Amino acid sequence: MHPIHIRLAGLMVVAVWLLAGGCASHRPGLEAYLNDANIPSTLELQDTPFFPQKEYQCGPAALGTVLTASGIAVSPDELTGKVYLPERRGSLQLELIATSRRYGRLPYVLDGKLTAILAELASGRPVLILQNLGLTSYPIWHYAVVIGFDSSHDEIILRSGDRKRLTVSTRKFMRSWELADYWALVVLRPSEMPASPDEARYLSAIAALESAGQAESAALFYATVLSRWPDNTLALFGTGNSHYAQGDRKAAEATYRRLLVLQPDHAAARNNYAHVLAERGCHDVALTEIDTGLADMDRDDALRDHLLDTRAAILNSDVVAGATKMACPAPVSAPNASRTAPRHAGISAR
Amino acid sequence: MERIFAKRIMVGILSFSLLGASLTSASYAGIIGTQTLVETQQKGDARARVDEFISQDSVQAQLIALGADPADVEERVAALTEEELRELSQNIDSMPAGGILALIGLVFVVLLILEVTGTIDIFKKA
Repeated sequence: MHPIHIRLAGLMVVAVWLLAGGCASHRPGLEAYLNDANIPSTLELQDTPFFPQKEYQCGPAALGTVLTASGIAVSPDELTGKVYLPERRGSLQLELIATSRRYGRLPYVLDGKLTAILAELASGRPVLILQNLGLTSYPIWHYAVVIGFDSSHDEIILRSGDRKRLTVSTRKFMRSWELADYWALVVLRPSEMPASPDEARYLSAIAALESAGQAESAALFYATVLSRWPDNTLALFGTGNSHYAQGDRKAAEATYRRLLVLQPDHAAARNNYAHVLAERGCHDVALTEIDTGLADMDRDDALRDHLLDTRAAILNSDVVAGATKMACPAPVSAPNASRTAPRHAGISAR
Repeated sequence: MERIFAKRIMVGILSFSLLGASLTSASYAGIIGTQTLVETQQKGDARARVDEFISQDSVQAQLIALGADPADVEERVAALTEEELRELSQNIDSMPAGGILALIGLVFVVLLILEVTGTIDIFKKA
């Protein structure tokens, strides 16, 4: 065949293909995702607020929707200066994430599976998603909020743009979502857990919230982690740091100590414990603790410099002594010390 | 005499503001932050990469270049982790920026035809 004929034939195929509903025909419908007994066949979070989008402002509108649904009264207008980039005529995912933190909410990126979205909806949380309504090579990026699904019509229900209730076939939805790398976000209130949490991802989201200056919120999330995974030492470490950031040195000290008893080779906890001890004037014990930590460390450990700095600060008495009159504790056993040593011997009464 | 006094006040104000600048970091001197530990663990013992510090200032400048209000950018980047700052500073121009109000059907169809005829030659295999 002549090349032009091939092109024409190609166009005709494309036209038929478009009439037939695009390339979506090989995708499964909603039924295929509904094998979890905890998820109903139809669900709609009708109370989810709606903010009609102004031009290019689907980021603020979608973020305002999920934040308001999570109990934060905030309008898209208030969010524009926090997430919108005029030159890009849109908002970046990372800025939606950062802004959720500023409101004390925990942004958690879901597994890229429709079942993960359905499970969140079944837990009562609307889900913010990114769609590509164009093509891989000509992307048209759009944020919307999934508020429900209807298996009898094989549809996903969205708050999208200026449409309060937009229904899209599951196949079309999956296509636009796939082209956006299946990105989906929930914003959790303190103590809330995603429907099927990934322990490591949940924790690193909490640590990021804490580092954004939301220690109070973070402490509540750490407590949630510990109630589900009591042995999670990172959550314990984060609890100590959140206490410290909130000015509760006594609780921070007790938490670091508890962690060191559980895991004597936790170098970061050893460092922070030494620091709080030095702060309240217990320089000798602090020095013993930091030396225990250093003795146990590899030479190329990434935290080694940090411990050396802390040691130098203790020696120079740079660490300001607090006014606490509590007695200094005995050192916590070194990693290789006998396990029979009395664990709480050092915590003396006032 | 008065001049020296004024100078001292200036020095005082300056050093105080410098002190303020160094305290704005979310971590506390001496304390290892949870986020630092998370990132250290994720990177294993790749110490060199930890040292590759991305300054918040450079990301702020990128946001301003994309039209963000200079008065907002300090707070905008403050809630990002080191890892996220690095990602932004490297890929900000290629990252998706969701924004469009509604899909313009015709444009979409034209684009689709362009893509299929221009980049995929469906009959070549036959």
